[in-house]
Amino acid sequence: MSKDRTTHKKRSFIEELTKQQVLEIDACTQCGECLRHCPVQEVSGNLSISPPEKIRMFREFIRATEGLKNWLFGRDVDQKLLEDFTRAVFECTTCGSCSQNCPVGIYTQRLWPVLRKEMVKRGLGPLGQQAEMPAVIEKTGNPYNKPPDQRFSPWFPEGVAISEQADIAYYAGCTGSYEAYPMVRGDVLVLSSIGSPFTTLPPEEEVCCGFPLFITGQHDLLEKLVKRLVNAYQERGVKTLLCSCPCCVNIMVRDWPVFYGKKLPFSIRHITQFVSDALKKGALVITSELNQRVIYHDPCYLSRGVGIMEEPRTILNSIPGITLLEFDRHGLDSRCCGAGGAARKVFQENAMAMGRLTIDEAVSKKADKLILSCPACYEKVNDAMKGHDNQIQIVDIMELLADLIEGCNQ
Amino acid sequence: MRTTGIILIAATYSVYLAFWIRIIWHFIIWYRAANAFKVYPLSSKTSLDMLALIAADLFLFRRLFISNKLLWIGSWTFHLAFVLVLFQHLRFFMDPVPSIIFVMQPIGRAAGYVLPVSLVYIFGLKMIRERQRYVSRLNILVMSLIFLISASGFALKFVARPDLVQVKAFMIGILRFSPEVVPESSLFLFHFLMVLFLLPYLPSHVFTAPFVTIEATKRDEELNILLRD
Repeated sequence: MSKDRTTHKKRSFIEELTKQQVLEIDACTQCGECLRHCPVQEVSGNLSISPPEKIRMFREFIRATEGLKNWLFGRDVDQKLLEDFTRAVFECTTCGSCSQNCPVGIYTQRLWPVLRKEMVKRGLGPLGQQAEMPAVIEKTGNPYNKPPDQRFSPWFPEGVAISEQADIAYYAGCTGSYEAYPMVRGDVLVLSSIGSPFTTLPPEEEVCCGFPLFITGQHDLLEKLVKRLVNAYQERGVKTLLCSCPCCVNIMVRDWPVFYGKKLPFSIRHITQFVSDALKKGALVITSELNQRVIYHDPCYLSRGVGIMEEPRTILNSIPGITLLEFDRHGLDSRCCGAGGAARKVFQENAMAMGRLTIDEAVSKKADKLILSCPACYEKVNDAMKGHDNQIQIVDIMELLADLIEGCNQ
Repeated sequence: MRTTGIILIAATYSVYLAFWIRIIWHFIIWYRAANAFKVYPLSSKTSLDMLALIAADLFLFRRLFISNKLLWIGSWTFHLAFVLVLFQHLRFFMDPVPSIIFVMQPIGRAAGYVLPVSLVYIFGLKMIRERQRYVSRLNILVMSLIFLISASGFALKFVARPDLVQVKAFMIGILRFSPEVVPESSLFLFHFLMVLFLLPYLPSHVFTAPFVTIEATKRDEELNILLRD
């Protein structure tokens, strides 16, 4: 056992929790309803990593450090159980489906990252590549260890004007910028077509939003990153910050104010909100038809995370000729594509299997295109299709739209 | 008083004491939580609609209804029957008995029939129809104990009725810390012992879940304003 772990032996397991989360851990009825909706269970069938088992194990830990028996006789935490729990909590995609379907309403989409943080503090997590992220982000500004000066250059469309100062700013995000070019290119093309002036930070200044660190329980860098970004946007006179990545939007709206220390000096909006408004106001006109059947996948952090489900559908239904299909599980009940929670970096088999479930259902519904609106989904579902029997065209919602607007994709 | 009586009464007070220690200890753990993880407060207002949703969540198990209607029928019926049976039993703990408890007796008796049926239904649904792979051993233990309590309650009514005057004197004696003679009915002793076994295993969600559910309802409302304020 490492010295670090021994030091953490006496650490309380309730140090990272809110009072509400202590209640939540107590409130789990162990009914197992969440298992019917857990995507990791669907592909792995491993009960020991199921939500009620994780909560049961964490109760054991709390008892071991806070319980009456510990107070009277002293009691050690079972090291094997700690390691099992760490693996279980990091194998989760944090998609929040268990939370959405919990009969009690336990907010697991928030609870799991906090429990991960506890394991990080104990030196047990994060796992594999996840552990390298803080150093990589500190060095390059992104979790992919890619050169900061190449953040925009491979995909940023020529001829699109960027203002120095503007009410509207666009944040591309790391996954889009380095792993899902068509998506962020589509964002910029559509924004440009709308015609409102917008600004972006220079590539070296647009650093990670902090989500990958937050979700893996590594919070040390967060305040620095958030303050750097918020101050940079404030200097540019930004009143609305647009972003297409659901994970970035999630941390921006929910947690940036916490790390910034006060209310943000601008509003956060998902790009589909801005674009659907522009369509309604006539600021954006779709000029081409699309006589195809498309199916839209709700990203977990966009639907369950921040409640954006209507706007992507408004946009798709505005396309002349289109037939919009739905997954059996959609909206708040959407099934994770496998990309969530940074688990895809370590538990790749699970992620591939989940991605293929999404592809298979889209193909079985005879969709011509699978529409996504998340760069992590885009990256992972494209990965999952490699070598898979079922094939379908995967398109980001803004990529699709850019193709249908006259003069947009040139 | 016979040795059995002394042991039973000592066990009752031990379980009672342990129950309160457990509740207080849980409260202390909750109180000591550092609240290190900060959450930025949103400006959601408590509207009448939200209060209605909270009431539906707490009293009608709305969340379970949305998630699994077949389980909801069993679970809601079970919880309602359990509360009604408890309410009906208050006549053994009170003197004089308030009239509302007399009025509720027929409903409580009907709930007594429903209680074991709902348990069998829940168990059958999970094991046979849904073939649920995850089974909490604690839940099985609690359900089994309630089933045994319920079945022995039936037997006390229809097979071997004890002297109810003795039963009531015994129960009130315990509550007033002035124990009386234990009723001479082994079936009653079994029924009572099962209740004593149940108490330490009574799931803590009974006390904490309502608070979690209220927050969840507020959170659902927040989702509608989060990016629209």
